[in-house]
Amino acid sequence: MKINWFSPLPPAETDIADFSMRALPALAAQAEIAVWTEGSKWPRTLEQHVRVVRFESCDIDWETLHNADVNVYNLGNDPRFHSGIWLVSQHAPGVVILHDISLQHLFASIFGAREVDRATYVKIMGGLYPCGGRDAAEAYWQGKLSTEDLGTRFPMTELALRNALGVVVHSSAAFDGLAQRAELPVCCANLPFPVRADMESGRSKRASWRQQPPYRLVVFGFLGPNRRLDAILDSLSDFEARHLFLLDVYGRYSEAEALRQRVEERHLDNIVRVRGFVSTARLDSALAGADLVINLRNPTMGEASGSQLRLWSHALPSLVTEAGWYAEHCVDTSLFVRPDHEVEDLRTHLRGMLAEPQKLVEMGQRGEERLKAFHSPTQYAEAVSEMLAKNSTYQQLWISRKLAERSGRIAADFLSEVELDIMLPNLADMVGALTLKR
Amino acid sequence: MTAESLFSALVQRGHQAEMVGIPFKWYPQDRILDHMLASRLLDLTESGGVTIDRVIALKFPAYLIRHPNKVIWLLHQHRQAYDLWDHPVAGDLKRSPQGNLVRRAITVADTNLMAEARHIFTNSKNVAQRLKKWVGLDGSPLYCPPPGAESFYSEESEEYLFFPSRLDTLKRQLLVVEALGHTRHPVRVHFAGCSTDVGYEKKLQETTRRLGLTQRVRWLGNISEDEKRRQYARALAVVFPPYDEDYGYVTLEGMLSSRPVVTCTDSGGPIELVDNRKTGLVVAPSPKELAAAFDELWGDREQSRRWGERGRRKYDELGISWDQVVDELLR
Repeated sequence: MKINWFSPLPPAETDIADFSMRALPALAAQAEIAVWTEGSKWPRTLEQHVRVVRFESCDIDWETLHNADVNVYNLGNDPRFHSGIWLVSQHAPGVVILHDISLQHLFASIFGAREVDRATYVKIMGGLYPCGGRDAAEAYWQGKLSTEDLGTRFPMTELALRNALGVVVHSSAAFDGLAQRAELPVCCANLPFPVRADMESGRSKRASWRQQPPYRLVVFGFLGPNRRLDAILDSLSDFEARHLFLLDVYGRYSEAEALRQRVEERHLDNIVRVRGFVSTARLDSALAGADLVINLRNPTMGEASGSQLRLWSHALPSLVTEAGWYAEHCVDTSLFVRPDHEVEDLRTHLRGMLAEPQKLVEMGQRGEERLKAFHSPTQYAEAVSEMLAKNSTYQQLWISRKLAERSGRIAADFLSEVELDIMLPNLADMVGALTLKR
Repeated sequence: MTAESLFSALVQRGHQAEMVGIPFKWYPQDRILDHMLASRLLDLTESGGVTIDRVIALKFPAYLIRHPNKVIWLLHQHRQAYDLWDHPVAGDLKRSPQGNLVRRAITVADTNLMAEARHIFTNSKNVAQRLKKWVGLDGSPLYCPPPGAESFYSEESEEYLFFPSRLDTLKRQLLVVEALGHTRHPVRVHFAGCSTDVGYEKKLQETTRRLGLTQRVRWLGNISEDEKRRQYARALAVVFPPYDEDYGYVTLEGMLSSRPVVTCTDSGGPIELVDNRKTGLVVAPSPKELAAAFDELWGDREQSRRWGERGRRKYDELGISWDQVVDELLR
């Protein structure tokens, strides 16, 4: 099997780039892979496993593309890395790997880039969500709503999957939601994350951790509003034991200066350090020396968290939002923060850490065990390969659906509803005979 | 041409026949699906209350038509989905965004619906081999005469080779022009046929000029049937080196005109009919190999004449006739 794998690659500042680096070596053992990426740089080590092709979404070499059996499109919310991939997916159908269940932010950014496209966005929202979509889209352009406000009710994921042959998700919640749409094959596979080569030493080190303050807290990843930095700062600002903690914030934050200002306003500058985006190696080094990660998502975009796997790989405990994938997968490895009681719950858990630090150490170790049991790249590669091997059937279903839709629309132009009821089964038979292998 | 000849043959044999032409537009590529569905939706089971006993389907997508007594006489499938998928020039399907999906639909439809036929004939062994290779179905080769077969004749040969075919990349006129640049003898070629590709025609003209061959090449354009037969009759030999031709009337017309035929090892249909070094030459598709073949025929006129006459005898021995075609298709 030959696969075209569309994805950002490091040094692109997204965990989806790291995800591809984790998944591809194992997948390359199952199939021949060409990675299509828009970036001009990528780790040369990757080319030991796959061929890398640089692409521009407006100038695709379809002939080269069709040398493969199937296209795989990695879609997440960051328009810098996924708008081009989405555009290609609209021309050449393939299997979509959804890294976020709600892609509202991606599409609002794509259609917001040009004034002329805003009307298209409003139209699409109205079409996808007859009940309130249009009004919500207009409110968004007027600045009355954010993409986070829109994400849950109007995820726009349908737009990402409109031309898809199938979809891969990384959580059962996402799977259940999509499986209800019977026309699209859905595969659920646990996000891959290899066991760290130095894990054993890291784990034993943590087992005999100093377990005394000051405890090192870390927040890392793509720091959008749903990462709840303000709530975290609030929980520390009037906290009686705040001097027993140090918080490092790693990751791209669009308003870093404003964040620093908020830290100062809360008189937290002696315990909170805004580090910005750092390399994976430096992040891993920071996590190796940390005691607890605060990994909130409110609202959650719904999908599995690469950040959570990374912190598990360091046998770290974490505080997570009691929602989505986290609620399902972090039961005995993390402590939950209720979305509507964030400050209260964060303080409760920090007090608990001070009282029984060993409890959190054990949670971190259970996280590491979970990582080993369920997230090996080999398991992931097998699950995805098994799905992609059915590509021929998915292509037939896709063609069948498209031809049925088009011929049905034409028939509806000149037939009444009663006539359509009589004629459509016959038309469906014809389409089936032409497009579905007997 | 084949459809019209078959229609005439059926009528001559006393059958009531109608020729049903189905428009086919192959671009943009998803239009192919529409035409497939349109063909499938046609009901040819009866006309005006009269049962239609047999449908004879010749090409894609016409052979997708439903009929209980459908017989396919396959001239060719939609080759861009099969053997021409990877072709650098003709492979247009592969160069379109959803070409792979359209290709999938074509192969599925062919597999499902060609098998409905009572029998599948093909116009050549080459087409039968493709059908077997790509779709897994058997087809029986059934040769037919070229249009006006009885009107071809032979005269004293003049100093030119004749290459009648539309100007098209797959017919490979360019290969022949390039070969002329390598001949030892001042070999001349008359090309007949109109252009279907302006770019290709321009390239032919430029190459002819660049190689200094303007005095040795004649572009006759579109010529009448009479003129075509006259060109055949007086040629020293016929050149027909297409890429993987389905069948190729040119070979048969050369044989009917008692002319040796030069073709290539990858030319498909023609190599079924040309006996190498007996009725013509079958050489590798390279300018130098073709040039050597041209030189040999140019240099030994007597051998060329003998091979041409042997080609004519072979045609007669093959027993190719419309009666035979009609008998088989209505069996």
